[in-house]
Amino acid sequence: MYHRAYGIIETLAPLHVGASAGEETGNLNLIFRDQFTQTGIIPGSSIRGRFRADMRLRRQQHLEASLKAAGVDLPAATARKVSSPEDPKKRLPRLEWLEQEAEKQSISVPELVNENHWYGHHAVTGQEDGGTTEALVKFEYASLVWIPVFCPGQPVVWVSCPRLLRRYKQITGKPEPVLRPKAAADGQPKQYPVKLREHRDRLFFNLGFLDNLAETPDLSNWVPKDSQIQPDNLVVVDDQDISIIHDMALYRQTRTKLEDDVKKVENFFGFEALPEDSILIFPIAVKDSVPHYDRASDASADGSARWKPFKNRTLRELYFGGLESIGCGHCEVTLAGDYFGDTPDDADA
Amino acid sequence: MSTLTDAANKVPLMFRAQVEGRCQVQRLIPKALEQDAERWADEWVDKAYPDAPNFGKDVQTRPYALSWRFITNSGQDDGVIRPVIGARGWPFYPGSSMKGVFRQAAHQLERAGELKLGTCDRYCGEKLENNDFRPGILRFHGGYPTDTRWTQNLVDIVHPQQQWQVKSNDKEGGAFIQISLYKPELIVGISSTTPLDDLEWEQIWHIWETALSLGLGCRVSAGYGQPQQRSGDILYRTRLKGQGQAAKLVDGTGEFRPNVFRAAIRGHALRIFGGLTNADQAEGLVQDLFGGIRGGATVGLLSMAFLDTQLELDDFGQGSYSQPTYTVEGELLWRLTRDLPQPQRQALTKLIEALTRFAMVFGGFGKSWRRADHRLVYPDYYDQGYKPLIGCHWEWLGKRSQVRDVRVRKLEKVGDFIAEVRQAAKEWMQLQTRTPQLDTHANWREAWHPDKVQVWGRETDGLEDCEAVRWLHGPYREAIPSVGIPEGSIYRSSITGQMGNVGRLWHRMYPKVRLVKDPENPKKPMPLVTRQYFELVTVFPDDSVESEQLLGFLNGQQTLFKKLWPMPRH
Repeated sequence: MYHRAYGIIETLAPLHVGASAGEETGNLNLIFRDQFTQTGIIPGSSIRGRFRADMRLRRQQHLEASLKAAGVDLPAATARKVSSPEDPKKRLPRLEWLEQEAEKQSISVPELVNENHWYGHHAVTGQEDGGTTEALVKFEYASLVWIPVFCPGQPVVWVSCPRLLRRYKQITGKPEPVLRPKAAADGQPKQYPVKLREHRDRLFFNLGFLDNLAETPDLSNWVPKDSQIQPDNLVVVDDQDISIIHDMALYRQTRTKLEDDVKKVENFFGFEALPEDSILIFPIAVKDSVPHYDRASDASADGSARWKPFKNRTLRELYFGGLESIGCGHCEVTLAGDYFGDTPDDADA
Repeated sequence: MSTLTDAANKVPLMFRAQVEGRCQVQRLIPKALEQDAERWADEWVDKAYPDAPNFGKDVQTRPYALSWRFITNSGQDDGVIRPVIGARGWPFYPGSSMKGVFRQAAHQLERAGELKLGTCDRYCGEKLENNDFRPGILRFHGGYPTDTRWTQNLVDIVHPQQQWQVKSNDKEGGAFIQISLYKPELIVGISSTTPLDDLEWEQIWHIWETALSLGLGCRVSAGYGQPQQRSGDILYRTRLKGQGQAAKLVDGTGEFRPNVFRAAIRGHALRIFGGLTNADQAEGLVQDLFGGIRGGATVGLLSMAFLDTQLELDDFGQGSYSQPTYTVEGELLWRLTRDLPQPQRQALTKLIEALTRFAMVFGGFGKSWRRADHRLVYPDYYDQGYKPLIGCHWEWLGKRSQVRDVRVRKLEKVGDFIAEVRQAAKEWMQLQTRTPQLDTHANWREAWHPDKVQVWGRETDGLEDCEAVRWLHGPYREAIPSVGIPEGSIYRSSITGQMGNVGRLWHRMYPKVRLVKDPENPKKPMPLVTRQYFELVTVFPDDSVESEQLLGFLNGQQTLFKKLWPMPRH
């Protein structure tokens, strides 16, 4: 039914997906969390929205280029709304204007850049079922794989827990069993799998010290292989402990609204975000009516369109979540998995 | 989960409660072997990543050096001002702050007609009707230091001392610690959601640089977060050079802190206004100029920056008297923080010029500013071995300042100069609809009113030809037992002051700079720095016997010094 694929997200800036600033004035704007581990997630709808918006821009660019080639005068690049040719009083959004003009010129949009084709047609008034269609590409929420924790006096450590690693394993098809903290013997304190660059006998977190560290070099196999950030300090904690450590890791900032003409605080509010250098994963299902995408040959047997959201690349910088204008949400996304012609992690090893 | 012994005391300070015995970053504990703030800072920088975070490919960046310290309050710990900590443990200038000042600058440039209306909305977003919002096209990524120099000199001591310097001997507060970055170079990033051409990027960076000229972060009016470039709405600038005692950081090393200029000039503003009206009004006027927290926080009209062109730190003295010292040259800038109507702008310019010149004529800046530098005026003093460093010495630097800012070229001009300063203050008061009341004054030790202060002076042949310095360390008058005149001395009295007690006498050696004809350009005057100095003694008499005797001595028993102010009525 489906080709399997997945995306790895590495945050280059704090990532805030949740209530947007202003909706909870005076409060901390929280991020969305997974209900079991209480760790930050990006909902599938946000991921789909991002991919849809990106391709919509590509469709718009395609329409503009085609109309220009057909000799149609385009409105100024900064004009967001354009007068309708039929009724000059009616102001149309730019894209709608372009669509109307393209129809007049019989310009069609190739499937490759048609977001409605891949991600489901948006609702249109007056049509049966609202004119919506089933998406050919489906996204699930992104969960954390590793979250970096900075604590003064110790190196930055990337933390995960068995539950998060299990989802990573499910999505990537990783064959190895999930690593978890284990008691060496009855009544003994648990040993925590770690991979540390320099030897340490304890790590501090806001729930106390972990001082029974079990050096586990294999742990680095649980870092996505194409990761840009290469964490070299890793630790796996219990499922019930990740939430409070996650709390310590979050980026938090108090923001102030200043008065318009003088540098004086008018209002305070704050937000939290996943910190830079976090690693998340999300599954993608591509309907098998879409031909397999082979990066090497870049062709399908029957010549039909393939889903290539990043054109011929699998890595791209994208923005997720809110507060983009103040530098949040800047991420690097790598697409991988079966659909993209990848073998499962370590399957060849 | 842990079997660690004494675990509570191994917890990093950042994760401890701000209570006594656990961690108090803002508190300076006298004579403590190590301050919590130092340990806190050490723990912070110890394992922060060695390389700076980067912004990614599609972000445009530019580096900016700041002239002195820089602080943005994270708001994370109660009662402590410390930076936001971003990726890899590096201090971070948040994108939200960056967007805030950018928007403010863009608005300002729109109002001034330098930018097309609507540019700010295009870049930063705008509110639409029906409560909708349209996002702008720019993203502000904030800033990081460009290299690991930020890990040095993080601990910053702040001493509030206006009360003590001007009004009475009651100290307020003592010293507080904050954590700030010392002369950082920050790289900041901006990106756009749509491709922009180079011309538009130039415009965007121009707006950002306008914003930067207002200063970044907090405490900008005190010289924090000021860019190492001259920009902004500059009211007055001048060049100075000076030497004196450097402020001591917690670890005992010295630092030249440009906020000494602001502190001194703010203090003089209080003294001058305090001589023209009551205490309450004077404080209100000063708060409007320099900002403050009386009756709600006010942002001052004036912000200051000092861009040093030469700075050397050294040590002077032996053993426990050893003190860090500075010699510094640079440009002092006073900027206007918001638009003012033209007449007020002119009056304010005159006022800040007058106050800066006043500070130069009668004292100096920084520690021990009430005394002439004993290394220059009384070198013998240090021959006696273990003696504390006393005083500072400041001069105008460069032709422009020596022509424009030297108002006292003759001893007799001192009285006129004071009148000029008071006049500038009166004019400003009138524009603020406050009426100067010449018969009242604030009840402070150093209100500048004819009933409260006297200025005496003489011309000297050189720096070492200094008379009054001896009065500070011994008798100013030998006893003449035959006619029953006892020895006169203010040594160790309320006049000279002691440790913990501010004196009532200022002693200054002000360089005499003449104007001569420039042989190459006879129409333009040229400054000539002479060997001579004006030795100026400013006394705020109290009702002590020593005070009365000193005034008697000045008035009747000596001929070296002339009374310069208040001027005798004709």
